[in-house]
Amino acid sequence: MSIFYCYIPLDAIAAEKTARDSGHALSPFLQSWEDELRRLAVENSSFPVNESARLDLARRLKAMPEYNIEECLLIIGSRFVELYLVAGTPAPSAVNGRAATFADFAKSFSYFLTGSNQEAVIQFFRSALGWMPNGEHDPAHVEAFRRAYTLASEHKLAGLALSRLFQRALWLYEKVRLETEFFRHPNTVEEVLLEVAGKIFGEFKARALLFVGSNDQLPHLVKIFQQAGIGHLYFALTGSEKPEAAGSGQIINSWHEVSQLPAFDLLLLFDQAGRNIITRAYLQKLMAARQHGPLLLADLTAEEPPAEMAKMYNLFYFRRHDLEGLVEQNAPARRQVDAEVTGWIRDEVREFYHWLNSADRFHFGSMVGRSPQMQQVFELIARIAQTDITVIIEGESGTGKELVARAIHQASSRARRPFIAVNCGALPENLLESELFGHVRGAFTGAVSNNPGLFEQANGGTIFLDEIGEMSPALQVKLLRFLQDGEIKRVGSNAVLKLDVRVLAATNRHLQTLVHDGKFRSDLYYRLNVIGIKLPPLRERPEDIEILAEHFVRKFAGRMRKTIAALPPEVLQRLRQYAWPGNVRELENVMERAVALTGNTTLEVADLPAHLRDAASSTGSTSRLPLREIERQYILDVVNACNDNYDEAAKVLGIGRTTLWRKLKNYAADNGDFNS
Amino acid sequence: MIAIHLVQWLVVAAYVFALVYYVRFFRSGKPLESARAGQAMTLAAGLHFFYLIHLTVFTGHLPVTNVFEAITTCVWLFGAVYLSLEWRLRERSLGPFILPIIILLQAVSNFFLDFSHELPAILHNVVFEIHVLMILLSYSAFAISFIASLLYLLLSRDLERKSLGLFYRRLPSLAFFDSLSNFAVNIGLIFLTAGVGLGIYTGTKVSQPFFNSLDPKFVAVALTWLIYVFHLFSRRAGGWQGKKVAVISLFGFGWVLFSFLAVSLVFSKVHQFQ
Repeated sequence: MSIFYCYIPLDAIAAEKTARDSGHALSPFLQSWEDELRRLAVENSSFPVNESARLDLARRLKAMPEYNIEECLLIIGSRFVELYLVAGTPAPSAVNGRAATFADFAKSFSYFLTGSNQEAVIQFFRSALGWMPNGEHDPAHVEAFRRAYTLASEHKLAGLALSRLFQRALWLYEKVRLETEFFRHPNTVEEVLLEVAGKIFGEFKARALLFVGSNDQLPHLVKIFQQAGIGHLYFALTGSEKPEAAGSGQIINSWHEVSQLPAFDLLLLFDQAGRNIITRAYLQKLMAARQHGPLLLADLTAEEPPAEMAKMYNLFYFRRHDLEGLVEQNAPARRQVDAEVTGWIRDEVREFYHWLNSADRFHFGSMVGRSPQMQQVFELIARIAQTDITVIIEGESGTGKELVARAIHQASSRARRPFIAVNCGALPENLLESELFGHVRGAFTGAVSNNPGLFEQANGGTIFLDEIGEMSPALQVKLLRFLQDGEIKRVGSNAVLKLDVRVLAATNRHLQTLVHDGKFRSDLYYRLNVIGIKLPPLRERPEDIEILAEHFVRKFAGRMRKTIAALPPEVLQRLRQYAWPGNVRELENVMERAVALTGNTTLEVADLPAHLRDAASSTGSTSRLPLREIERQYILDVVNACNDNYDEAAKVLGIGRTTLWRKLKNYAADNGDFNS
Repeated sequence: MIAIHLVQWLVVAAYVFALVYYVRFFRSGKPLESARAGQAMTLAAGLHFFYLIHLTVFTGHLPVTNVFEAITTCVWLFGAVYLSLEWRLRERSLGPFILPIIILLQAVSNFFLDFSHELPAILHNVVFEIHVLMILLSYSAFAISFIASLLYLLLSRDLERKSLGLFYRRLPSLAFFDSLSNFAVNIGLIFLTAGVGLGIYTGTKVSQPFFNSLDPKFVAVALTWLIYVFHLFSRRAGGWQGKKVAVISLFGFGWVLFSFLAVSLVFSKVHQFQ
């Protein structure tokens, strides 16, 4: 926890808040985190927050029981990433300068706050490969990256965009690992040294390494060899290094008794002082003590060493410039691979932005929706599909409850098994029972043979119970028993069948009210309602109307072999102004009718049904007007639409011609412009 | 008849096919191609096994009764031993060096194998067959050691020259080849000793009054045995490591190849007794 940079991105907090206001809920924990940040922001007028405030924050966060700071920062960071990506806001540049790393640990995500979005996505992919900005490879970073995502998704913070990015990043990593030598080109003298040592010794577990001399690269080298799993570390430090530098290694202070020293396998020299210790005579003794097994001597001194060291059986002697030469030799191949991988990353980024800006993003299964509400529903489906959780889908009729159920089924591991949809309201109680659970011969009059029920047919798959609120109490008990034990009995049989069926239920009535009225068992309700998906009615998400209408036009035009170019704005305007009591299904029917009626390549207002044709009529449904006024507007609209053919208008309105006439006269009298 | 000829050349083709993959992998180092190479090798060895069964059914005895039968059996054992090593060690860099030997020997066997020869009654003997199989197994092990030692020297040369040759890039490590080679020699020695022991036992039974100790095959194998015992002792007692030991292994297998082919070709029968 020693590393803790927290230059707090205020705009990010703002973004988080906007997101929450638009329906993205924060967990209570994150809420408290956010409050904490805001409090600090208020108290410290200048950002980044000063040292004491930072420590204070760290202390407070530490005191939070369930998470550590890294996780907190990460969780919040990944949420911002999602928001930035989806919103496409220029927030990063606005935050730039103030916002930086959430934590060293979460670098992968922090890039999103430091560059343009495009740049950030590139960095995201580079992070996934552990490819640091300085060109080095850091395997630890790859792990951090993956951990970061796991955390984010555990906290349900990774949305569709981030999930997709992550999925692509994993794919890219695999591609690079299996199809290139990207991860096998050492970049620095230290890495080459490790590679050479590996080529000689294979594993380091049983090997002993001695550092001799003094060098500022020492900690780096120690880290590299420790990561490689070196067995024993020894230090003969000649410079001003503190003993702490040795870490878990052992320090050798007296050099007089060569024979008492351990039999080192690797010797690393750093300076002239080291050369004075590791003499040819010492090497000969060491080799003899190790029975002339292979020995690696690396002289990292900048000046050219004396020549006499070089030749000895099984001694591999590398000077600094030898190692530099190896790095050089590596360079062309490395550049080539780097260029190749960079190209792939660019392709991925282009692909990603293409997806982000395309309509594909708004398709999920056979559903379409760009509104935040529907995007949230899609996210939720994606998250819960893989589990076996029971789901209740609530929504007005025509909002696509069955489509949601199908999408869950399709995205789950049960996709290849049956999906069975049952409408509980469509069948009388007894019939429904034997339909669902099956019956044996003779169970009731007309049961002439054994009949497996729909539950049995859905075994291994999913059953979708529509209008679950219509189910009779007796059946509710049977269903509850299945949900709790996974067991059913056929009607008229005592044999218990164990089945593996995922249950999805839907209702267009408010189940909680039914529970309250005693019409629906509360235990069943709570057992079913593990996750609830609420489908908003179409009137609450007007931004989806256009994309839906286009979708249906494409669908029906294709089916009817017509070419319809586009929806003109005036048609869209009519569609947007209508209240859609029948929701998406009504929209679908309207579009089907319009496509069927039109003789043109574009739809026209005239192709819409009468009640939609006039914009003014439906504004009444949203703004509150007296009934009389609504009636007046509507009647005038209809008359207008019928081109003043009163006969037809009276038929449409379902009133007599005389009544119509009387009303029209009254309206005219009100306006004073109708001389009868 | 035609079928079995087709199969024996298909085996060679399969090994060539595998070699192509191994070489491609060795050049590119891509793990994807590594997996393909392993699959191709497994396929070839499987086909070869099928061929051996076919041969056994066709001739009515295990294919170990003359030198060319022995070669193809030996080649298969060699391939199987190599595949198991490859699987155990997860290292495929030896393949491009082992397969040429396999292909060469299998082709030689295919050319000279004569299906119609009459089998001497004394060779219808289980102990005899085990004797030959043991010797062949030991040769396979020595071949592995040979390849490992060769690669040890090549990698060692790259390291001494401080150049990033292909061997440096692809080969695992000196320690790997060192232990692989030593392990193979140890195993080979066990099989060779057991095989020679069984051979002497069979020899005393079939040959009157006593089997000829100057039988050229026996002399050749005895020399092989001595070379590899020296290999063992130089390590255990002399503390030799690295290149010196690798050179002994190279020399040992050179002698095995020479004696196996030359002695068998010059003299008309496997053993000169009777």
